[in-house]
Amino acid sequence: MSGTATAEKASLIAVRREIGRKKRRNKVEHQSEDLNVVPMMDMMTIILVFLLKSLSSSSANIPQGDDLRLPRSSIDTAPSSALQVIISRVSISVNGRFIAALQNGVVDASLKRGGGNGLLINPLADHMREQVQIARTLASRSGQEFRGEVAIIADRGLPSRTVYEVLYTCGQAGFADFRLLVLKGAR
Amino acid sequence: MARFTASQHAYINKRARHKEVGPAEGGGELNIIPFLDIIMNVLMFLLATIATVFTATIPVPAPSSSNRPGPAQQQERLNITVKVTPTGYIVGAGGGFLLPGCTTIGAASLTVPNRATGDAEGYTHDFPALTQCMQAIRRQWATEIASDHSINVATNSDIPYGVLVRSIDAVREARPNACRISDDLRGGDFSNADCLFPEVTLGVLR
Repeated sequence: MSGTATAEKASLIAVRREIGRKKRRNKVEHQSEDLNVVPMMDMMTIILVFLLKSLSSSSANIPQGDDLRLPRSSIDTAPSSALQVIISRVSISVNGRFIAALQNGVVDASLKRGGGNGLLINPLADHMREQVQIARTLASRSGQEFRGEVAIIADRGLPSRTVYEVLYTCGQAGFADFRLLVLKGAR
Repeated sequence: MARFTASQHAYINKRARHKEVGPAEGGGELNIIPFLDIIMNVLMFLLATIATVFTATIPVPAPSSSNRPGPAQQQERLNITVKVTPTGYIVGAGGGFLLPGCTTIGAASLTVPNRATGDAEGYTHDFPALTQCMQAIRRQWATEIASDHSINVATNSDIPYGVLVRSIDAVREARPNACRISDDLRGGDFSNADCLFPEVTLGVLR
């Protein structure tokens, strides 16, 4: 015979109540161990979207490499958002679209009107005429003046003649305002 | 008061233990760690890329029509031309060529010869001396070209584009930001004494 109250076995209800209490305590402990990364993820996603948006709409989005190294200049002006003509050592492209291949920065004579001494690059001229039409239509629909701006992004090691040929061709197509894109910081 | 026995304690601990969710059972919760890794990598790449690209633009207006009236045409123009050759600069003004020192007009000669050694970028053209030449021109013909800031820069076909850009820098201003170019890059305030010839037109030597 047990006799004492302290040796009395707990009832089933008490056991279940104790299980519930312990479960709640364990749950709180386990919750506090996990780091809540959702706010951080939100923040990261917002920054990422912002960067992608701003980069895609800015002229600073220039893929530099061995074939395209921009020259440096001491000028301190804002980069232009005009139509981009990129002249690397291997190709000419307009707003990312391939136009003509170059051999070590020189336009092949067969691509120019008048051969080797010519200044007009035929495939570029065709494309730029289309661009002029598009730009004029957009300008008239938005009630703005067509300014004919072109941003020239060229490799610093290119022969100057190649740049002149591109300028001449753009000029012949109807563009008249050129901006040479450079990296800030020289002297 | 009733107390738990040893077997009851064991039973309570067993039932109240927090169940660790195994990989196979965790289908209810999305694992976002790989997504977070990708975002972090893309973010770092973008930040590292844009940190090195600070660009500016040099305005190069197309040559204006000769019958268009302009302030510079109301007076005698000096028609300053800088020819960039592989051996140095030939500076032309007033229908002749400037001799070294850039204060007297004489027969065709090299006005600013190249340096013996290249600079950090490997260019041997003497850009500081060209700037000094332009300053000398502005002093020498101060009244004639007081409001004329135009200059023609022409290069040989094989001169690197980088040399052309540095040459434009050299003729434009004697110190950075001396010329205050307007936001639309069409004109600006060129009244500063260190602002030399910011209105550059380009040409090619045949």
